[in-house]
Amino acid sequence: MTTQRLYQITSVVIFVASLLLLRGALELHYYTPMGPGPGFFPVWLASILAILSVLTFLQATFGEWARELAQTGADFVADREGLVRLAVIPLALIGAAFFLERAGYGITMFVMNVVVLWALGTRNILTIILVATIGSFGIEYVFSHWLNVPLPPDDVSGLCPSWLCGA
Amino acid sequence: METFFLLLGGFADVLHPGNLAYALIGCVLGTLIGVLPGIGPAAGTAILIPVTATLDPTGSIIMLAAIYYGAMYGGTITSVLINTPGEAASAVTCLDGYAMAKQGRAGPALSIAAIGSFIGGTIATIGLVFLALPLTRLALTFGPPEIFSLLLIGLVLVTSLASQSILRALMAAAIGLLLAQVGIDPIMGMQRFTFGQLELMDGLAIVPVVMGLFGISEILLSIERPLTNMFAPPVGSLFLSKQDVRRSAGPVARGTLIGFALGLIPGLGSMIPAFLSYAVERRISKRPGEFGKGAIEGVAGPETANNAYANAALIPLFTLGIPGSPTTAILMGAFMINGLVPGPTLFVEHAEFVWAVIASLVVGNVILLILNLPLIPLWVAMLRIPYSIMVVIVLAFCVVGAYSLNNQPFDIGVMLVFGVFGYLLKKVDIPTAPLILTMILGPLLESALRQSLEMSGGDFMIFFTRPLATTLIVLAAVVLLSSSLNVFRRVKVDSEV
Repeated sequence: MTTQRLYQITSVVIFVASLLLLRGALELHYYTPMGPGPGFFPVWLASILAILSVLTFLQATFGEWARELAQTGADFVADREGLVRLAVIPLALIGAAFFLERAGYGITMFVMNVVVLWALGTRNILTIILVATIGSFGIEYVFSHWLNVPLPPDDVSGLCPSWLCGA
Repeated sequence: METFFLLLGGFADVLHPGNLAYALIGCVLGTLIGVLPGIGPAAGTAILIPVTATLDPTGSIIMLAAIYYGAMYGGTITSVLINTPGEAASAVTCLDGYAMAKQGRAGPALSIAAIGSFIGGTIATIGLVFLALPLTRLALTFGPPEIFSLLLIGLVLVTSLASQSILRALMAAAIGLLLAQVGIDPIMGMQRFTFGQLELMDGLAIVPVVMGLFGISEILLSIERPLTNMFAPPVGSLFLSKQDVRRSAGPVARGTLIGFALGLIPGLGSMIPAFLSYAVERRISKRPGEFGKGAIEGVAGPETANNAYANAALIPLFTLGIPGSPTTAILMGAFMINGLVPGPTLFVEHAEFVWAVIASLVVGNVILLILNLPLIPLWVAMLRIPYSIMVVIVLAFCVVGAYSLNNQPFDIGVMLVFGVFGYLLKKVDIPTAPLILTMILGPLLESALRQSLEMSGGDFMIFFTRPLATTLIVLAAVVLLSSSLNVFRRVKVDSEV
C-alpha cells in the first residue's frame, strides 16, 4: 500500500465518522433562550472535522505532494511475527479487564505476564516465573500494603504470611 | 518582598522530611522513565499517578513534578550512551553526545548535561517565582471572552507546531475537542455521546486516555519489529576538564535563555528549544565543523535549554491554567484529581500549596544533580534489561493506574481503545499531542465560549470589543494563517511526548 492510499483511506474514515458525529450532535439542542446549547460546540466541531478530512483527501490526491506520496510505500502493516506480538497486548489487556475483578489482580496479572513474556520471545522458564511474579503479586503487594491503593484481592492473597501482609 | 516570604514558606514545607522524600523518589522514578526508551514523560507521569494517590495534594504534586523533570534529564543518558533518545527533547543530544561516548568521553557528556540541566532548571524556577504573582494578578482580571481567547491562542500554537501538516494537526485538535464533549453538558446537564454508558457520564477519564495514547501505543509500535537488547559503552571519568568548562559556559547561559523564553509560550514542545539551542551554538561557534563529531557545546546548550523549558513551561500552567505540553497537561489532570484547579485562583486559594511546589522545583533540581551523576552505572545497568521484561512491568503499572482511578475495569478498556487508536494515529502521521491538549482544555474552552455568548446575548462581536480578547484572537488567526500557507512544508517538528 502507498502512503497516498493510506492518507486517502484515513480521510474517508474520518469523514464518515464526522458525519455520524454530526448526526448525533444535531439531535442535541443547538441553541436555547439562554444562549448556545449542548449541541452548539459538537455541531461546529464535527463540521470542521468533516471539512478537514475532505481537504486532507484533496491534498493527498492532487498536486505535486500527492505524486510524491503515490511513490512512497507506507510502513503500515507489520510482518507475521510482528502481528502476533501486536495482537497479544490487546488480547492480554482484554483478559485483564475481564478477569481482574473475578480472579483478583495477582492471579490475572500473573497469567497475563506469562502470556506476554512468552509471546515476546522470552523462553527461560525461571525468568518468566520470576518476572511474572514480580509484575503481579509483587506490584499488588507494593500498591496494597505500602501505597494503600486497593486492588481486587485473589485467593492467593490469603496465603501471604501475616508478618508480611498483616492480619 | 511578598514573593520572597511566600517562597521561604514554600521551602519550609518542602524541606519537611516527607515532602523531601517524595521529591527524591520522584526524581529517581522520573530519571528511570527518561532512561527507558519508549516510555516518554507524559505516559510515565500518567502511569505513576496511582503511586501518588494516597499522598496529600502537596506531596502528590511534588512527586509528579519531580517525575516530570527527572524524565527530562533521564532521556539524556540513553541519547549519550546508546544513541537512542529516551524522550523526544533529547534527540538532538544524540548528535554530539553519542559521538563523545564513542571517543570514550561519555562521562563528561553526562556531567555537562546534568550541570546544564541543573543551571537551566534552577534559573527557570527563579523566573517562575518572579513572574508568578504579576501574571496571576493580570489573569484575575480576565472575563470569559479573555479566557476563551487565551485558550484559543494556546491551542492554535500547539496545533500549528505539532506536525509537518497543519491539516492533520487540526484534525487531531478537532478529535480531541470532540472527545471532550463526551459526558454531561457542563451548563444544561444533558448527556452527550455517552451511548447509555454510566461510566461515560463524567466524561472520558484523562489518565487512561493518556496511558493509552502515549504508553500502550508506544509499546505496540516497539514490538511490531523484532526486539533487540541494548549494549552501552563504558562511561569513564565524569570529571570535566578546564577546557570543557570554558567551552560549555556560553552554551549553558544561552540555553537557559532560550529554554526559559520558549517555555513561556504554550504548546511549543521541548524539542524546539533543544534544536534551536543547537542551531544557535553551531552558528556562533568558532569550530562549527566539530559539531556532530563530539563537540561538548552540542550537549551543553540543548540539554540546558531542554530543562529550562521544562521548568518554565510550568509558568503558563500555574498562573493561567494553560498546559503547554502533554506532560504538563497530565500534571493539570493530577491537580484536578487532588481537587485543585490550576490558574490564577490557585495562588489565592491554595498559596501554601503552590509555593511549596515551586520551592520543590529548586530542591528537585539539586537532588537531580547530586543523585544522577553517582547513579549513572545503575541507569546503564537498567538498559541491559530485555525489552520484553520492561513491557510486562509497564503493562502491570498501566493496569493498576487505569483500574485504581475509579476502581472499575471499564477504564482498562478505555486505555486499550486509546492505545490502539494512538498506534493507528501514529501510523498515519496524525500527531497525538494536540489531541490530548485539546481534550483537556475542551471543557474550559466550551464553557468560556458559551458564557461569553450568554453575556452578549449570542453576539460574537463580544470578542472584538475587548482589547485583550481581540488582540489574542487576531494573533491566533495570524499564526493559523501563516501555518496554513506552509501547508506543504517538509520540516517536521514533533511535540514532546
